[in-house]
Amino acid sequence: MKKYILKRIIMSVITVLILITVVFFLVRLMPGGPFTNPKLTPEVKAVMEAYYGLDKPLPVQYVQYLKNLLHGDLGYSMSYSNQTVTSLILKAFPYSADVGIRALVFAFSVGIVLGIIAALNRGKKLDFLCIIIAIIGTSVPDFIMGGILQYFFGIRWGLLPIAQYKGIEYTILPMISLGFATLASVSRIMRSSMLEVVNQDYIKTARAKGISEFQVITRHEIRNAIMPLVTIMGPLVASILTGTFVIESIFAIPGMGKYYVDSISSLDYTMVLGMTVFYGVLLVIATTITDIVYGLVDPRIRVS
Amino acid sequence: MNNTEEIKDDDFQIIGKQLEQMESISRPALSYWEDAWRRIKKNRIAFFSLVLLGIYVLLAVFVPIFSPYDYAEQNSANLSAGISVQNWFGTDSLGRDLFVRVWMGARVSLTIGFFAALLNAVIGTLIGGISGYSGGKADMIIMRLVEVLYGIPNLIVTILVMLVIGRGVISLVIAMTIVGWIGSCRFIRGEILRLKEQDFVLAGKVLGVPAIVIIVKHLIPNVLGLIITNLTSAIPGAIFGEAFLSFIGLGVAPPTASWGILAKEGIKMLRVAPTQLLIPAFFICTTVLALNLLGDGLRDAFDPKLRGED
Amino acid sequence: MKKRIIAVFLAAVMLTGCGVPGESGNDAKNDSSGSGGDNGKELTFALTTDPFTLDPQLCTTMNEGAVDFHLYEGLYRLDGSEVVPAGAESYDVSADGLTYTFHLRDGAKWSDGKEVAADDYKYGFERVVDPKVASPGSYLAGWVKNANKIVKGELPLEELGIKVIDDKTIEFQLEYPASYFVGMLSTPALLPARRDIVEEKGKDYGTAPDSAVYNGPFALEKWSKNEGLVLKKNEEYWNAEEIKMDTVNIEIIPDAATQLGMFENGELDYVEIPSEQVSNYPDAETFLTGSVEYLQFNLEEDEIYANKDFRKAVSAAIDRSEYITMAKGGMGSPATRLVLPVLTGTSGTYGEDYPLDLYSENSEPDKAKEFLASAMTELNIANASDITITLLCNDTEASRKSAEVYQEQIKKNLGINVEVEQIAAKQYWSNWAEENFGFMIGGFSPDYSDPYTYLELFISDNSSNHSNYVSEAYDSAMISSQTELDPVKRYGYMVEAEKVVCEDLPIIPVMCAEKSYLINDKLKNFTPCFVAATYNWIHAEIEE
Repeated sequence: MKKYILKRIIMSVITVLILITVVFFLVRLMPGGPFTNPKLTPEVKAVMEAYYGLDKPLPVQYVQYLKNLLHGDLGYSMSYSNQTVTSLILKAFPYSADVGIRALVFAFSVGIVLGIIAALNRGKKLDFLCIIIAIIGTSVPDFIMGGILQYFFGIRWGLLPIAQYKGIEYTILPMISLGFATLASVSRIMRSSMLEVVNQDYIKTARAKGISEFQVITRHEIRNAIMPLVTIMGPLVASILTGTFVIESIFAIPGMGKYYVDSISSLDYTMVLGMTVFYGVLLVIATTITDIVYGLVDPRIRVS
Repeated sequence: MNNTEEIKDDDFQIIGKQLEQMESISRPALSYWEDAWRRIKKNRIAFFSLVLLGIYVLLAVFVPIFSPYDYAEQNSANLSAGISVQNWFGTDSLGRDLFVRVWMGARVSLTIGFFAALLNAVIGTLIGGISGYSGGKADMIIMRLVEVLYGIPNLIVTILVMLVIGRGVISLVIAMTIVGWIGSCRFIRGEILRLKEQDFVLAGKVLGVPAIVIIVKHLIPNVLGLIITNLTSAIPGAIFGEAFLSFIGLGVAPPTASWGILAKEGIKMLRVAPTQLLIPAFFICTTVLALNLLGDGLRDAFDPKLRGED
Repeated sequence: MKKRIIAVFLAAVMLTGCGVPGESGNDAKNDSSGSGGDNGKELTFALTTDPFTLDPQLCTTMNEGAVDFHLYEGLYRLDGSEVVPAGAESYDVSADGLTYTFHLRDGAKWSDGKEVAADDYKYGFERVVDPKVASPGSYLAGWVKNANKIVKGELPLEELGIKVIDDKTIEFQLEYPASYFVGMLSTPALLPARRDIVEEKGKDYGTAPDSAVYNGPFALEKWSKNEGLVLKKNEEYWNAEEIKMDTVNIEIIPDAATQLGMFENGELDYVEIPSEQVSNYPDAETFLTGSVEYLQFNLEEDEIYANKDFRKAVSAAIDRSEYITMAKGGMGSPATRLVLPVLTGTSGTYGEDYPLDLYSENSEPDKAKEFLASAMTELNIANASDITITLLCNDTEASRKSAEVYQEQIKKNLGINVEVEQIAAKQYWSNWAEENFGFMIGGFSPDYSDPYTYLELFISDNSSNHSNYVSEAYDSAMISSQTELDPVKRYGYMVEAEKVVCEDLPIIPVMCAEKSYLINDKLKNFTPCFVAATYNWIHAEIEE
């Protein structure tokens, strides 16, 4: 196991390195640059590019970037003058993580329960009801969901704050808007996989052994059915933690989603790369953990 | 359960061998697809969803052809009009007829949704299947590659694709496929990993069945239900993807409409003319709803283990 | 397992019960908002974007400018359309109009109590032209002698035409008699900076409340990235008695509709109405944003764009008033010329002194078709439907909508094909800068309150002349205006130039942008501006 984890870590470092390389050169393919601005004269633009080292040949910049990265230095943002990428990310991440974790807990707890209820009552009204509740969540795009929730709960009825992130009551609408889609897919996957498990021989065996129905469901069915959810967890956690642009922009949450979209559209090279490194590392950690957890949950899959 | 002793020999009766009955087939021979179709027809919700989607497709094809309005035709005298006899869904903020725009949008959104999802599912299943089945080094390399691709910000890919081939349905489908197949790949790989440890695969291996035959004949049918469910839920994903890209200004070229663009324009008008949001939102929601319900129905229909249960 | 599910539920409840990031630092300030409390009189409004930096010399946006404008005090200040003494009490001009001597105000102090010295102003200018600082606003100092050469690195910093005579006197040498520069002295890039503080803070200068000192009416108290800023009245300000607001809260709310909702809930004192919703607020007040929207041609891209009759045809095909109604919710006034008419003129406004009415409010289809016909003969084109032009717009919703309206109007009135190419903002500006376009939506916001700011863009060797417009008549009128000392004659030259460019149409002016806003009835003297900063709240007060 130790050897496996070590190997995974080495592979992960290589993965992140390749990712950085690809993004470094991809982002430079886009026409324009961070200082393309109608108000800037070509001379000033040249001066600013020299200031950020953008006048050097691309390979030199690349090597320099990697060198700095070795020291944990992600460089200075090109839009946010004189602010390091690290400091910007560290300020924004807690917000995204907070909304994200709340949304995940909401989605998984409610989603799993709905999925189980639906599966146990397959084909009955309760099944239909659970699926409908879940599907309303998936069938509405997040910007419509966010906009409508904000309009009714915040503006029309004044029950919850319209925007910003300053206390518990502020978290509810973003949590639901962000988590609803995940909730729905969780409950659907849970339902499918419960139905699958129900027909497995070991369940029949368990029943034949005379274990009570309650125990069959809790000990055997749910435990096995939850496995497919683990595979989607990894990438989901990474993407939900880095925030979503839409929800953050509607509810004015100072999280990462804004940087994710803005840094690309404003071609803030260092910020794009910084986000990629951060997101990439998070993703790799999440998938590694997923793989290990997968092994733990399903005794048949042992990491070799 | 402990009353086995009470069963006596007298309770049984010898009926003898009836050879012809032993060899007869108790139900009509149905191919895999015939059986699935039979079952989907029996599932009323799934069947209704299929019909609804069919109606939407027909409307998307024919409304723009037969409507008296052109989807791009503006009318400064009739801005943001409500529902009326002339304009069944009202008009948008530029006075364009929303009925024709909704169905023009359906063409774009459904095309993008279907092709992006199909490509994603096909590529994802193939790569995921190979990765999961072969395991070991190949799996390791593919999964790391997937991680790299997953880590590349989608927006960069989308913007670059649009720069190379211009704005439009094709560039959106390509952009969504480049990054989109990863989801189904991971999912299928997980399923295959689970299935390949099961006894029927082991039996196949022991009997010397080649890997490709095991994948195609045994593993894929077992995950086909999941692939189909995945596909039907990937279409909404792609429809949403298009809507998100429209939201941040990377949608199809003007004056073309898509549901995402209509919803984006509509959400700005929420306080002034709510129907401009509610109408496209209704069609997005019902389409996605129908696709999801159909997906569930298909899942049940294709599941070999549920075969003949009804 | 049920237990586990219950545990998860409990966790969810607990999570909703625990605090959110940044809460502890915030609540004291926000809970008391509106009610007075320790914060005294409070003003709260929202910006859509966070300042990238509050180092005035690195300022790139109007929103940053608005904050800098209140944190620092230039030598003179633009107050509405008036230029009023601020850091300086008066100035003397030499006979040739090339030397200006400013006399600084006694008793003006920085927020740390130190007297404001002439060197602080000089240092601000040094930073703006210093290639090592790479100030995006360096072009704004172009009127100072040698400034442009220093920016390009052709001359050392010591050659800058600014001299400190004594602690309270500073002398400016000008490149040409640009009398309008006094009105530019409150532009963020030209605000003062403290040498000792900048050197001490290094790269952190202007990135946090305690990494700068302020000599303006307000001082920065708190700045949470992408969340909001809190400004407090600067007690050291020389005119602190006249400042009525004790606290100014600036929230960062990216979505305009969200801002409107917050205003209606009483959380904001001022809000701009998104154009789609203007019709819901017929009584709202409006102001000119200063920006002029136009359609720009690149005359070298294609022979059709180089054809003057074709450009005239397009201009006549545009229905300016319909465009404003449809694309802008009625927020704008049809352009009749290039320069914003409300700029200061010689006696009244520029528009009153030199009226110019070149374009019709509505489309003129017949005239448009005539121009198109003669353009087609000149270019040997048989059918209008053989012509296809591509209009470039950027990825904002507003730009898309505008493009759709233009597309339809040109198609309808000329019968030619118009395609719209929509690309991301950076690529859009990059296409513009690299002259990789034929026909695009453009616009210009003035840098200072003088017609020259609009007109210099079309001088044939100006680096921003991406239309590749060349006119001898225009250039000579503009060059004469640069050296002319008599204001009336100078304006005469500029109007002459304006007429030439408006006839030649390398750009088709369409409208002067307006915005409508809602304001708390009790809030007075909070005024939107159109140059350098978005708002002026120096004299704002809330009536009881």
